[in-house]
Amino acid sequence: MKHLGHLLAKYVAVMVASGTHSSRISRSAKRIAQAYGYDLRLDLALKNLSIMLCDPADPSNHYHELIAVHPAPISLSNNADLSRLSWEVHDTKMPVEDFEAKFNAIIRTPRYKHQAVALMASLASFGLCYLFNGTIWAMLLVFISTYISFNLKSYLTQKQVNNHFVILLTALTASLIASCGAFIDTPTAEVAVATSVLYLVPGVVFISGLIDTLEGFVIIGFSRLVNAVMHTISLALGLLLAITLVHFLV
Amino acid sequence: MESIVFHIVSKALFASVVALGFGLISNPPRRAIWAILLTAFLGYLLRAFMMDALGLSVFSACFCAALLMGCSGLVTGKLTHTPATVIYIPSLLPMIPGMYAYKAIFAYLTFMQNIDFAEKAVYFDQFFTYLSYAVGILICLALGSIIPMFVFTKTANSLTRSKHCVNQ
Repeated sequence: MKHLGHLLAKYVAVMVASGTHSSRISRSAKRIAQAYGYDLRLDLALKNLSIMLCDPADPSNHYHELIAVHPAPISLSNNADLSRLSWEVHDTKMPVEDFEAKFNAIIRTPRYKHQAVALMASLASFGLCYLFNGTIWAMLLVFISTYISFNLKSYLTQKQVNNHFVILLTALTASLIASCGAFIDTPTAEVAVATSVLYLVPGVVFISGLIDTLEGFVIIGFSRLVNAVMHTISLALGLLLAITLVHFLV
Repeated sequence: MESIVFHIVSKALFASVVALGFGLISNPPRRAIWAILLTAFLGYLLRAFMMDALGLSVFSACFCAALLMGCSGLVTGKLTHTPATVIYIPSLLPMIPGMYAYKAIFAYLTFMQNIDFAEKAVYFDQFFTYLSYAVGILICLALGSIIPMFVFTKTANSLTRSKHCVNQ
């Protein structure tokens, strides 16, 4: 029971860190517990969470754990694969050791190659600039600014700089590079600057926070929404700083 | 007529590229990539059609597009054994109201730097207008996309279940 309880605590912590919305986390974890004949109670939060695994036949037989959620980049892959694993455990009643092996294999699956993601994100910004009716110069500027700022963001994150400060610096860098469009013409610069920071918008956190709040997980939902708003404010401050600097210099 | 069709389809194709590129930052599963591309294409196609061909407002177009994306997330999620959110969140990203947000920030900056009260009022009005547009579009996108999940709750909750496991 202790082993399964600890494993479930890790499972829930990984799902929270991956940005999964709370009702899915709760359903998936409870499904696994039930497959092994236990009940599970969860208290979800973004920094720490607690779980209690109970034997329904003997309530005095229970396991409780408070676990820290380690900050990690959003992973939709973990969200999908861990949810899928919960159904697999539920339907096949696999031994706990097999569940542990599959869980470890999922969380150790490597992410997409960093440079490939940087290039695709830059291409996406290029495309977004087209959608905003940007000129070819604006599109090229946005491609370059996204590529450079994306790598800067990864570097600062590796150096464990505060996340909000990382977003501010990244938005500042991206919009300053995009502002070079001011040397071509004003509309080019406007579209380029507006597009250059959009890859930093915390879409997953916003939607998860909203779903949590609507489904009654108000505390964690609001925590997520506040995080997303803080993230967006950092982004807007970086953009504001860049526009002020460019107005001052040009 | 042909030029409008070309315009709408080309925008929808670019929107798919945007969804994939921004989506990769959030590490989606490989098996869901085609679903993200398709969902973004369909959603943006509807949005562009409603705005450019029918002349409807950006709010109703975004809401309907997000609704379609939510439904597409459920259908393609069933095929790929992936939660609908994993598919429709990256697909929504091309519709982020970036230009409105930028214009709101720019109007705020000009409002703060101006000392003439009459001009300040104009920039404040602009700031509030653009901010309302940006927030309104975000709300339409978020609500539109999650409504199908609440309507088809049972389907949404079992998308990741594989028939292969049930039969064992």
